[in-house]
Amino acid sequence: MHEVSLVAAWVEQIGELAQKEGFDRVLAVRVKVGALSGVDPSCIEFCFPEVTRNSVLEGSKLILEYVGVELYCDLCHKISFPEDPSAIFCIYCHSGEVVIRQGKEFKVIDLDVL
Amino acid sequence: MCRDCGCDSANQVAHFVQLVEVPRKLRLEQFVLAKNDRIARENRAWFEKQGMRVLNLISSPGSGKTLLLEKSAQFLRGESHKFKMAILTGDQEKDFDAQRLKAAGAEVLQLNTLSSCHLDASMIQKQLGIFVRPDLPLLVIENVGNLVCPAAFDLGESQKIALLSTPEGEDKPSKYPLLFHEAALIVLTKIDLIPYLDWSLELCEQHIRRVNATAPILHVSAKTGEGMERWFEFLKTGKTA
Ligand SMILES: Nc1nc2c(ncn2[C@@H]2O[C@H](COP(=O)(O)OP(=O)(O)O)[C@@H](O)[C@H]2O)c(=O)[nH]1
Ligand SMILES: [Mg+2]
Ligand SMILES: [Zn+2]
Repeated sequence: MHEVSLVAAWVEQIGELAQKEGFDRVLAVRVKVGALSGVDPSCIEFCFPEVTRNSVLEGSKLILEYVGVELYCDLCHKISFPEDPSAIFCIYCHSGEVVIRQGKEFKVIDLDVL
Repeated sequence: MCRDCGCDSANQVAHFVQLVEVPRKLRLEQFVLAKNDRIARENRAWFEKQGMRVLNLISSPGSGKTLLLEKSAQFLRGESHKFKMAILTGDQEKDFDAQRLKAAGAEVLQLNTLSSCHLDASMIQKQLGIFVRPDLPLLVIENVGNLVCPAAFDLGESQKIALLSTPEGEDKPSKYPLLFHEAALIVLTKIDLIPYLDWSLELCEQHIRRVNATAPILHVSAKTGEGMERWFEFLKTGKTA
């Protein structure tokens, strides 16, 4: 739902980085999208060309990497990867005392810049 | 125009430099939300320093956030300063909620987010020490009606409170797991409507427990007043028992 504003935030932050790091153009941007991030990958893809126009990101290749949910169980100390992101409990002991270790993130991993 | 790449450069040296430049990789272990997270941390430190409790109310539009807060303001009006509450209410446009809350006696400020579907930490930070006075014991933030984005944008609150109204059906917690997982308290609203709906409390609680094993669940009707004592108790003391 807030995909446009998230991409607009990259444009701003990566624009600042371009000045600091001295690059003019981004060739590719690699992004992790967690299953619980609330971000819709197709929405990002759809708005990316328009929102990045006239910025260092214009024309860059967008590479989205989907990340599933990883839970750490506070009770049995096992790590589980529920297939259903809406099942936030340990698949071994069914405890809900779990920590979400992966799946919430929406972050830029790296950039290929020129 | 240059025939190699179509650039305007007539300067062969500049062009040569451009041609031999090789792409490099910049690793950024940087969250897109990093800026918001940093400001949220500053907000949280400020709130903790003042000893202020801050609740971030999140739900779909129309779940009853504003009515619950109108009743809360009326209830707390007769209480001592210890239980004073101020409200920041967020909507994309208009200040209808602030008008309603003001009429109920609340100290309230409307925040309009315009194109954005959530409040972010910087909108709150701008009010610290201004609308949000340091001696205030309780700040309640009514977020923009939305179950997705507000869950991703930390404001620096002490606790997130999720509201779910009975007409929305039982399964929202499974469809929007992050919010219901992170909520410290889940308030089922509009329970006066249950007789008119095919809505099952048991099924709803099953959906909640799949994503949140421990948060207390309150059942309230802001309209009839049913169950409201427990909510008021939570507002005053942070406890629901
Ligand atoms: N029947 C009933 N209606 C309610 C209740 N709480 C809120 N409403 C109504 O639901 C509508 C939306 O409420 P509002 O407080 O504006 O929701 P918000 O968008 O979450 O702030 C209004 O017409 C309210 O009067 C309730 O407990 N019972
Ligand atoms: Mg409202
Ligand atoms: Zn376990």
